[in-house]
Amino acid sequence: MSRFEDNLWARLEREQAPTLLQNMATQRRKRTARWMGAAAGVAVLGGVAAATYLGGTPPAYAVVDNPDGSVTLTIREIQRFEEATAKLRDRGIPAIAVPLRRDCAQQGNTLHDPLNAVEFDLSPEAFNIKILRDRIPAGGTVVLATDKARGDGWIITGGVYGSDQLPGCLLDRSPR
Amino acid sequence: MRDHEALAAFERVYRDNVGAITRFFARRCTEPQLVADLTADTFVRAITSFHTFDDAKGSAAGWLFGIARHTFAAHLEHTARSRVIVRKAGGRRELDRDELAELEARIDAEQPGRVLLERLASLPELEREAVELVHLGGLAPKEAAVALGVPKGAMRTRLYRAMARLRAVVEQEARADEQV
Repeated sequence: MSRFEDNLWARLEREQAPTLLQNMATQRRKRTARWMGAAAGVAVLGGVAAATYLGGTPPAYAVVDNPDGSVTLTIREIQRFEEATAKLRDRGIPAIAVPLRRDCAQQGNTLHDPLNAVEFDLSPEAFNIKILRDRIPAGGTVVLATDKARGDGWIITGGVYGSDQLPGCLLDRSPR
Repeated sequence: MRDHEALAAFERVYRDNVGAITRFFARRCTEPQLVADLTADTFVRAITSFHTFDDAKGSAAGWLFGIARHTFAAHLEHTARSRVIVRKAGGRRELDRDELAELEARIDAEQPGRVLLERLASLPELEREAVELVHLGGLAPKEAAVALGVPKGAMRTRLYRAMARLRAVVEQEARADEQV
């Protein structure tokens, strides 16, 4: 680059980089607000809960045993969703990951009672899926599914199904 | 995109396009200091709105030329907005001798471009700008469409019409020369 171009870049970096970083942070906060707004609209119907994550860059996952006996699966890297779900099985929780499809016809047998065995908590950085293992009935399996949502986000959904009639996929009901 | 990635991404956009943007202004102005100020204004506008840039909607070059057009229009109209931008950039920076020499050389190099722009003066504004961005600025037609804010199909139509008009002008001038 020429001297003029180098000097202009040095000046831009010195004087405008803070503005760029501030704007990026503001945009992230707005995305988080959209995400939290989506979380407020989480529906729990027939034992199936769904939430939409509308932004952010995902890293890794973790499984934490809570004092009340429940288990929280935190997923920051959505591409490792199946691997993260397998960690639940390591903790003795029957759980599988299946594809999320718009044309899914394999509904399986949703267990309606007890409700809220799976809770979604959306923080700015990750999905938190809380599994209340004492609410999973005998013969029940937690089924989770994820896929890209509209924009640059992801939708995640799941519920408790009868182990003898598990769905091969879950139905994507998100708007496009 | 993480913060440090955003700054690095903007630096790539800057380094890939600063030459073309400087030439864009060097075709319009013969004062090195003004070329420098307008180039700086363009990149100040770009860096402060980089969080809105979406490369899925078009290239960075098209986006930057769109900003450059608005910067030049603001300069011509002496709008309050352009003055605000200059203040945000920390005011006008005087060029040193080497920078002046560099920009004078660029302005000289753009002389043929200025002549072509004068010949294009009879065309409607958008056609004129379409020809300039594609044939002098080196943008692909779809990038020029982004810069001008027109649909890609409309850009092809404008380019076709503009070239047809130019051919007609050149042929008319040739006939006039023959009669002399």
